[in-house]
Amino acid sequence: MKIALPIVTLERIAHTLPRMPNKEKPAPLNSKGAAPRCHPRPIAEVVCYSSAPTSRKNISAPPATPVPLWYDPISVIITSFEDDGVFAWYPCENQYDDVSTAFYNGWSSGAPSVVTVDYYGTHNGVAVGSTTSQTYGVLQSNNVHLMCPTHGFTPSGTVNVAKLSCTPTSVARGGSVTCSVSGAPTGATFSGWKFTDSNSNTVTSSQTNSSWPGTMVMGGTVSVQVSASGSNPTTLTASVTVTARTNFAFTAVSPTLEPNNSSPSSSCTLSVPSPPVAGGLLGQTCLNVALSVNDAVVNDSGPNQGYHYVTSVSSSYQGTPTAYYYVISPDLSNTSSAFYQAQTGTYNAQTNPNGYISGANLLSDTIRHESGTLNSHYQNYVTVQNNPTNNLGVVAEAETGPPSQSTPDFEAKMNSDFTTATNSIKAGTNAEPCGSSYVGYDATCTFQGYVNFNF
Amino acid sequence: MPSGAPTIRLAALLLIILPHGVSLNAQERGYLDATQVKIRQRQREPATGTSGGVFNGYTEGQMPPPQPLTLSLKISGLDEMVRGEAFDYQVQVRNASDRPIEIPWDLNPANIEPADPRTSYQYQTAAIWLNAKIGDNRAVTLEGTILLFGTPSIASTMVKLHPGEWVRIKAKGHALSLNPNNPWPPPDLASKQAEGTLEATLILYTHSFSSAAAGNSHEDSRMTSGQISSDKLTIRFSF
Repeated sequence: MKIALPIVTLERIAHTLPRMPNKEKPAPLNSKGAAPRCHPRPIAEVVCYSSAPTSRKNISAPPATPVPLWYDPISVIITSFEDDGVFAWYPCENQYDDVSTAFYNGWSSGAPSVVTVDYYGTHNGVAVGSTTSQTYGVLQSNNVHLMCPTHGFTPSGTVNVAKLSCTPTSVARGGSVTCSVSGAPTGATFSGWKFTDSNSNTVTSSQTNSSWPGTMVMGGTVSVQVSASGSNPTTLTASVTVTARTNFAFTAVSPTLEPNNSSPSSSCTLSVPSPPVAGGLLGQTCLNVALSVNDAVVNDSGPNQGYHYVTSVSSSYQGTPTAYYYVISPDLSNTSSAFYQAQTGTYNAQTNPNGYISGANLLSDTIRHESGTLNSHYQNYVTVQNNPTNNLGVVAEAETGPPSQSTPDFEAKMNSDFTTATNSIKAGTNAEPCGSSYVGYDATCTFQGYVNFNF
Repeated sequence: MPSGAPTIRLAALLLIILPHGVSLNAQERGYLDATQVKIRQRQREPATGTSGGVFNGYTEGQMPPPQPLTLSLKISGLDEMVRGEAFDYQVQVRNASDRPIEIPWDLNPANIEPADPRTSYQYQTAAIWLNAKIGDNRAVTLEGTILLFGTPSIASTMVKLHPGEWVRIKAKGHALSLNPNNPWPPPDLASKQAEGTLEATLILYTHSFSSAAAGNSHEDSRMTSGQISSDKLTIRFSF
C-alpha cells in the first residue's frame, strides 16, 4: 500500500536542523501535525529526512520541471549550513516525492569560493555572492515515478549566500546609508547590530530589524548577527566609506589695498614709516584668518549615533572676514614725492651694479612683493591656503569625534587642528618672496637696483 | 612646666622654617594632577554647537602682541619618545601681565553644569595641547589634551593669578596623533628615528549653553585669548 506524504510547497521552507557533513544517513523527519509517514521507495532507502521540507505542493497538472530542487534559489549564510534535495513528479498521486537519495554524491557548486556542497547536498556558505549548484542522479526504470527506461537528471538552481550590504557603500559625510541583510532564510532573526570605525570606536543597537539606516559621518564596518532556524548566530559584515563633502574648501581671498596707518580689523594694523627710512618698510601685509564652525551630534539611532561632525563652516567670525590686507608707502605711491623722485633708476647690472632702482620699478616691485600673483606674500598665501591640509574649510569638513568624546573635547581637538593649519598658513605667507625682504626684485626675482633713502 | 620648653622650641623652629617655606610657594597658586583624576563629564551635552574665532593675524614686520599668560612645558626624564608610548608632562601657566587674571581650574565638566536641565549657563575652558613637529613637516597634536573648566559663579572652579603667580598641571600624554586624519609619524619620514620638537599651546574659550526642549540644546563657543605657546623642547622621536 502506498502512503501519501503530507502536501508541501516547493518554496523555501525553514529547515529544522542543519545536516552534519559526512554523516551516514539523515535522521527521520518529524512532520508537523502528524507522525512521520515514511515508506520504502523503489529507488532508495527512505524518502523522508530530517532536513527535507515538511510538506509538498499538490499540483493538478504535470509540472514543467519534473525533477526540481527543494529550493531554487537556496539562501545560505556565510559559514552556516543549508540542506537541499531533489523532488520528482509522481503522476500517480499528482504530486512531488522526495528522491534526494538518488542524487547523493552528485552535488557540485558553480563557485566553491562562494558555496561548497557535500555528498548529501548540504550547502556551506563560504563568501557572500551568488552562484549555482547542481546535482546528478539516476532514477531507475522501475521507479514508479517514471514510465521510461533509466534516465539521468541534472537539476540545478541558484544559490544566494546571505549577505549584509550598505547602500550606498560610499556616501558623502552627513549622507544617509541603509545597511540591510539580503538572502537570509525565512524566519531568520537579526541581533547585535554594531558599527566599528578604524579606531575601534563602536556604536551598538538593540533593534532586531533586518536593516539599520542612519546618517553617516565616519566610515567603518557594520556587522549583525543572523540566526536561522535556531542555528548558531552568524556574523555578517559590510563596510561603509564616508567621503569628504566637496563644498567646504575656502577660496583664497583677494588682496585689499588699505591706507597707511589703518586698522581694517582688530588684529590688523597697517603702518609703514612716512617718509620712508632706511631699514623701514615700504609695504606691509596683514592676514586675518577667521573661521566659524557649526557642529552637531548624530542623533538618529543609526550606525553613527553620537558621532560629532561639522555641519557647516564660514570663513568669517562674527562679522570679521578672512582678509588679506596690504599697504604701500604713500611716498612711494605718490610719483611727485621727493622719495619717488630720488629713485633715479641708475642701476645697471653690468655698468652700474650699485645704482638706484627707478621709482616706477620700485613701486611695481613693492606692489608685486605684497600683493602680486608671482613671487609675492599674496601668492605664498594663496598657495599655502589652497593646500588641503591647511585649508580651514577642508580641515573643518573632516573633523569628527566618536560618541565617547564630549563636545568640549571635540571642539578642543578641532581648535588644535585649526591652530596648526592657521600657523602653517601664516608661516607660508610670511616666507619672503625671492628669498629676501628687500622689495627691489621683479617678478622673476631679478635684482633691479638699490633704494635711495637720501632725499 | 616641662611641657613649655618643646612648645617654645617648636615655635622658634617654625619662625625659622616658615618664611622660607612661604617664600618657596608664594607664587604658586595651585597644582593639579590630571593623571590621577577620572574625569566626570556633564550629564547633558549640546546637540549642536557653534565655535570659531579670528586666529592670530599675521602682520609683516610686526612681532605678535605679548600675551598676558605664559606657558612652559616640562617632560621629566624623557629624551626619546617612542610612538604610542605614554608619558607624563607638566605645564606651568603664569600670569605675565600686570593685573590679576582668572582662569578655569577644574578638570571635571560635571562641576560647572547646573542641576536643573532647563537652565542655560556659561562657562570657560582652558585647552592645553601638545604639538610634535619634525623638521619642516606639519605639526601634529598628540593625545593628552588638558581641558580645564570653570565658571565665576562657582568659585572653586576658577583660580585667580596675580601678576607673577602661576599654576602647574601634570597630565598624561601619548605619542599618538590626536586626530586620525593627521598621521604620526609624518608620511614622508623615511627614518625610524628623528629629532623634533614638542610644544604646548594654550587657548582660552568661553561657552554659552542654551537649554532647549526635546534635546535641541545648543552651545556657542568663542576664543577669548590668542594662541599662547610654550618654548619648544627638543625630543628624539622613534617610530
